Amino acid sequence: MDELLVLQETSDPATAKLSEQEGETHLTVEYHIVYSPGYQVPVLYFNGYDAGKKKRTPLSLKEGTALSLDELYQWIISKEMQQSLQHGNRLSQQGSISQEDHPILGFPFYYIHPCETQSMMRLISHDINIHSYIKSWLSLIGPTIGCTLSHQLFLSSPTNK
Amino acid sequence: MATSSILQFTPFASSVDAAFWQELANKKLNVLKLSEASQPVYAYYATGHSQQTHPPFPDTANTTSSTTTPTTTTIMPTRICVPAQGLDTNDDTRPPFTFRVNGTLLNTNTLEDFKKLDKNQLFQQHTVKIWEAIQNEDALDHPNILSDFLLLTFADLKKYKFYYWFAFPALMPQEPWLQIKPMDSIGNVFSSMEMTALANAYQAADRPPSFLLRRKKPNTVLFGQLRDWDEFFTNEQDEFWVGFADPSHSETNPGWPLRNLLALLHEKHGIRKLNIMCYREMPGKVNLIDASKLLVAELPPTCHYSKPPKSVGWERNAQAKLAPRMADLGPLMDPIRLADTAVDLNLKLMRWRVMPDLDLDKVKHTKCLLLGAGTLGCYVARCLLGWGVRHITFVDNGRVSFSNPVRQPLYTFQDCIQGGKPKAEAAAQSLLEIQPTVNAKGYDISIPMPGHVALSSDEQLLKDIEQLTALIQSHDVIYLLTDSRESRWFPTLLATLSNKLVINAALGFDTYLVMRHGARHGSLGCYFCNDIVAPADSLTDRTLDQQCTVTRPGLAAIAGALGVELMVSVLQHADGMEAAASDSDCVLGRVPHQVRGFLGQFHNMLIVGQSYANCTGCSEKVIEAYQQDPLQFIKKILHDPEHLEQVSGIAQMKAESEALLDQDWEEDDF
Repeated sequence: MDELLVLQETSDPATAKLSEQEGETHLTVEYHIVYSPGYQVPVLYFNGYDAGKKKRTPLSLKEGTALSLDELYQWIISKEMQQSLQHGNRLSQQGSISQEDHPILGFPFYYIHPCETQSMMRLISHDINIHSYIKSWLSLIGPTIGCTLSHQLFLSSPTNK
Repeated sequence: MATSSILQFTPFASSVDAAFWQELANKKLNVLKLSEASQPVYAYYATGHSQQTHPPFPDTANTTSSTTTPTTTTIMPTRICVPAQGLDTNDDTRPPFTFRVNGTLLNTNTLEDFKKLDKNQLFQQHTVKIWEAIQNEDALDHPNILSDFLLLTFADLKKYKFYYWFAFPALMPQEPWLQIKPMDSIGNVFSSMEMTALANAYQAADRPPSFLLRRKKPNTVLFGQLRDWDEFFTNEQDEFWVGFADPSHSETNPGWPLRNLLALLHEKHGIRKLNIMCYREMPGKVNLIDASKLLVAELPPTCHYSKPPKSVGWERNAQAKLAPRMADLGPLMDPIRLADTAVDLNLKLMRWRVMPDLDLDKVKHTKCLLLGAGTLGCYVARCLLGWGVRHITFVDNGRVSFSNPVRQPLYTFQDCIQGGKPKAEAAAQSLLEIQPTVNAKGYDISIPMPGHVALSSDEQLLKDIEQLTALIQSHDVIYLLTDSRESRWFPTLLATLSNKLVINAALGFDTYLVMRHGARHGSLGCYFCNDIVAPADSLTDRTLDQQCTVTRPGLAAIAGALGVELMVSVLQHADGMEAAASDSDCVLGRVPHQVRGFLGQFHNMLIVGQSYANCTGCSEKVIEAYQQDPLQFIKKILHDPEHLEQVSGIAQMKAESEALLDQDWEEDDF
């Protein structure tokens, strides 16, 4: 982006500087829960985006760039899941990661394949009811791709919906 | 006396949903087309919270519980998000407990137009808009006008890159607002009962972006809207606050929306000093407002806002420069990148599910040279693509003929007309149509063959030699897939010289041979090691059916596929080319030397052939003779293949054997 595009603006002492630490990169990850009519279970879709790098490299302009599968593995997908996949754990309950068009947005998203979901949920079927199904499902499947839930969700309290 | 400092506000950091760019792209293609008219757009933000963050899961395998993970306090940027439906301003789909802000989007048709936009003027226009809303009281009825923003974009629909620049105009007084002392936590001034009452009142009032708060005596708080100023206002300290939904996470600074709110309060009510409540809710727990902050803001005496006032608010990019940002959505929108990712994912799935130790990268980066783009060449190429190989080169001097497409799956009828396209090129083109990211090329070269005198000049012959040599040197695996014995001789020599892996496939009517050549100086042999006759002209004076080497159609598919699978197994073996044939296994299984198949019996045999010191194709003697003078040596061999027998030592061996037979054997010798 050449210098023609850089603006001059009135100097303003009232704008706080963002004190971001060196070597920090911000990533944005979005998660969607979509029902799969074929497998009759919820499916977790996700995509990651880079918020831009501090260093002045040709790539540093890319802000909001979609993360590649390798980058997702590096930053988002938990090491435990990678290990379990590496050792050929066929009972990997979380299922494998694939990519397809989001059923509603029509835009490519990575997702955790739902083929193992039913057997995974059966393991705890005695402990859950229809109202806590999504919470329990997400707590099992979410952490593998960085989507953690607060344990507060599971404590019974009057303010919990 | 506490010292005042300049009140600093945390700017917004934009975060645009990738799906929004998709929507903008669609709208531009289908609705806007070349129009550069501005579009309404909306965004949202949530209140901030200072929260200690740590990675969602421990990095090292040793840490077991999150409480022992070292926590780092990272102040997250103050996000303002544009959702997927941001262009549809009648829609208001956004997460609960967020605040909506409206804006204007201006999309240009070219990057040049984007550069040429008079940004200062646009910014100024927007500033005036906000200023007027303050003057005519629009801002009191619709307080989110104070945060109205500007968004300039250029959508490059060929490269799927979106250039964008946000502006959040903030009105500036002639001298900046000061803060009397550092921000205080709400809990130091309000009791938890008061906070609960406030939170409930806030909810009940439908969560306005700004509000008034009055505390008459301990534990009684009165909540009011901005327009009820006259009833609420009082100068008594610890009695009156103006609150606003504060998106900032900072411990020390309030968020951007406060700037224009202060301008409003000064203009409408002459305020110069004020208690401010930076209202911050815990996400998901809206009745917990412990993270809220309090501050006292003061404008220097005799200081005013000019009419109209100066303003700032262009968003800085990741290098903190006043320049636009760019979102590259190629990986998600470019169909070619999507195809690439899908193929990769597919192969990875195979590895993860079935064979974790498979080295797919090794296969992917193997460069394959296919000598021959006929039945074998086409099937080999297809299988290589399936394994993710991305670099495939064809060599063939023929043209596609009408009988080819049914047996050679890379060609279509269109390739045959008008004399037929050159095969090597057509095959490469076909691969690109299957997988656009493959590196596929085709070369029309005639391979010098023993017994076939070169019809071309010395110059051309030398050129062919050099070209073939260069191709063999620049690839990792050489496939011999031509339709005669003699055409495989010279490539065998060259490949042995460069010690490249050779996969050789040959077809009979209903039999096939698929083999790998042994390494140079290795114990396994090549295609010619078992011969005691030099390869010679086998093609001239053949009948038509002999020339076409008619084979059972399924054979090429079988042999071609076997050739590729054999290569992959060799690549997976720790010893690679040097892998012994009989009992050494790789992760995929055996790595044989030769597979001979008999389709009539649906049967195949695994055979091991030793390398032969007098081989016409791969022996050191032949290689040395070639290296001494490549052009002359080849010329001689083309003309007189028997010379090869001399050079390799076969002639001598034959003479010795005959001499043995001629000897008279006395009966007593036994």
